[in-house]
Amino acid sequence: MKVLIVEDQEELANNIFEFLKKEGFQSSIAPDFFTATDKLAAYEYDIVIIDLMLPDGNGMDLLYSLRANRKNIGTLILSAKNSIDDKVRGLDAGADDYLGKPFHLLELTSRLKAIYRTRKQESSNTIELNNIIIDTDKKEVSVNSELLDLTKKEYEMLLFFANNAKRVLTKQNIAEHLWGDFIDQSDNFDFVYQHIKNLRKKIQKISGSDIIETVYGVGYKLKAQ
Amino acid sequence: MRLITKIVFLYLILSLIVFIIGGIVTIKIISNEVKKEERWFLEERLSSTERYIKRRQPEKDIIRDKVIIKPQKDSIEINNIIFSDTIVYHSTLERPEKHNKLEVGKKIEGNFYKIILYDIIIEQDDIVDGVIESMVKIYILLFVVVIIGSWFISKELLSPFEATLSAIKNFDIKQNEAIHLSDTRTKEFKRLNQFISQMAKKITADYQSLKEFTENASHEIQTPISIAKGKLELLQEGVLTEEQKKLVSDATKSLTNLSKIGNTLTLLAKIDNQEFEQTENTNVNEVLENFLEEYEELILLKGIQLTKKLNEEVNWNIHPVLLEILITNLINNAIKHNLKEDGFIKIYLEDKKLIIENSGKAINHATELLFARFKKGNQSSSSLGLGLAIIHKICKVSGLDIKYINREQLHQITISE
Repeated sequence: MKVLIVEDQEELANNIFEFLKKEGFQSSIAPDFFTATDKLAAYEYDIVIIDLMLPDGNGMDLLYSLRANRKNIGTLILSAKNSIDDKVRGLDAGADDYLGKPFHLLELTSRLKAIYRTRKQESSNTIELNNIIIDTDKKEVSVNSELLDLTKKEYEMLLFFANNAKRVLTKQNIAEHLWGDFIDQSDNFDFVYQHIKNLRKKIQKISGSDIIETVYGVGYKLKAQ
Repeated sequence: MRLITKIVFLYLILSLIVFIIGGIVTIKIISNEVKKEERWFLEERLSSTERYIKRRQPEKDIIRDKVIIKPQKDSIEINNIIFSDTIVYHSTLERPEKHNKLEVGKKIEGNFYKIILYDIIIEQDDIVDGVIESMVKIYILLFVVVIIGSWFISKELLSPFEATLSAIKNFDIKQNEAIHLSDTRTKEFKRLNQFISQMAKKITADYQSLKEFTENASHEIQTPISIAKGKLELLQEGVLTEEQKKLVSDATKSLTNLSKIGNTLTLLAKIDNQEFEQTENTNVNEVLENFLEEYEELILLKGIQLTKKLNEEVNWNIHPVLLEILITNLINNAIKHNLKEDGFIKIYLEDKKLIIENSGKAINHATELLFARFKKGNQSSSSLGLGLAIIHKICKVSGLDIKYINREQLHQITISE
C-alpha cells in the first residue's frame, strides 16, 4: 500500500511515516499543497492522508480535485478542527474517513487498512486469520465456516486485532478504539480484560484454540500464525 | 403603553387643566365686558329719561318696566350714580333674573328726582353656558385631532427609530456583517444610530476574535499533543522494560486528558458563542437508544446494572448535537461516579422528563457547586470536573430545567423542558 502524507507539521508527518514504515507501507511526505499536487501528478498512491490546514492552501481543495480527477485514490482527512460540522463537510466532500487530532497511530493504520480494503474492488473484503474469516462487508466472522455470534464491539475488537496483527495492544488502546471519547483516562481499563475474555471464549468454543495472547503487564496481541 | 400614547395622554390632561382655567378666565372677561356695555347703555337711557322728565315734569312716581322715577320733596344728593345688581322679574323670560341697576338723584328744572333704571343685555348664565359649551367642543376637537394626528406623526417621526429597532433585531453576530441603519435627520436618532453601529462593530470584532481564538487555540494545542502522542506510540513499539512501558502509558494518559480539556473548553466556548443556537424538535428516545446501543456493553462490562424504562416518547426543542453531548455526559457521569461494586444506573423517560439515577458515593458539600467548572465531588479524583459544567451549560442555553438530588448513595438528575 502506497500512502501520501500531506501534513505541514514535520514532526507529526515523521511520526506517521515511521509508524507506517513498520507496518510495511510505502509512504512519502508532502509538507504543503504545492508539493502534494506535484507528487500526485508524478506518482501513483493508494491513499492520501490530508491535513486540512496547509500553509499554502486548504486541504479541502486537494480533496475536491482528487474526487474529481482521481476517483480511485482513497482519502483520509486529518484535522484539529474536531467539530462535527467539519467531519460532515469532509465526508460530504467525498473523503473516505475523518480523524481528529490528536489521534493514535494505531487508529490511523486501522482506518487506512479499512479504506484500502473497501477500495480494492477485485478481491473480496475479507481478512483471514488461520481458520477465522472476517468479512468486513457483511460484518460477519466465521470460524471453520461456522458463523460466530459476536456483539458489535466484539467484532470491532477482533478487527482491531486483525488490523494490527503484529502489535501488542494495550488495554487503553483497545478501550479508546472501541469507545473513543467516552473512555475516561482515570479508568483502570480492567473491563477490557472481561471483554477479551468473552471474545476468547466464543472463538475457543468453535475452533478449540485461543488466538489472543496476553503480554504480561502490557496488553494483548494476536498469536503468531 | 407606547411612548406616543403616554405623551398624548399627558398632553390631553394638561390641556384639560388649561381649558378649565381658560374657561373661568373667559367667563370673567366676557362678564366684565358685558357689564361695562350695560352701564353705558343705562347711562344713555338716563339722559333720555332726563329729557322725558324735563318735558313732563311729573309730580307722582312713575313706575314702568325697567324705569322708576320718584319726584322728591326735599333736596337730595345729585349726580351720584350708583351701579348695583338686583333681581327683578323678567317679563319676557317670565322668571326673576339678575339685572344691572343704576340709581341716581337728579335736579331737573328746580325739582329733585330719584331715577332708578335697570336692564340686562346678556344673562350671566348664558355666558357661562356659552363658554362651557364652546370650550367642551374645542376640547373634543383637540382630543380627536391630537389622537389621530399623533398616530400619523408618530409613525412618521418614529420611523427611523423603528427601522433601527428592526435592524438591531435582525442583527446576527455570527453573520460577520456590519449593521445597516437608515439615514435620519433627527439629531437624537442620529446619535442613537451612531452609537449602535459603533457598538455592533465592536461586538462583531470581539466575537470574531474570540471565535478565532477558540478555534486556533484548539488547533494549536492539538497538533503538539498529536506529535507527542505519536512519539510515545513509536516508543511503545520498541523494546522497553515493564517500568518504562508504564511510564509511557501514564504519559499518554495525561496527554489524552490534556487534549480532552482543550476540546471541552472549546466546546463550552462554542456553546457560549451560541454556535448551537438553532433548535429543532429532537426525539430524546432516539438519541438515547442510539447511545445505549453503542455503550450498553461498556456499562455491563464495568459491572454496572443498567435499567431503562423508556415508556414515553419525549421530544425537546434543542440542537441535536447538544442533545447528544448532553446524554453522553449524563451517562458518562453516572458511570464514572458509580460504586466499585453492585453499582446501578436507571434511566427513565416519563412525564416529558429524563431521569437518570445512579448509585455512587454520598457528597458531603453543597450540590449546586458541582455545576461549576473544575469542581469535583472528590477533589483527589482524576476526573476533569467539566462534565457537569457542560451538562449545566447545555441545559441553560436550551431552556431545559435540571434538578440534582443526592440522598446518601443515590444520585438523581432530572431534566425537563
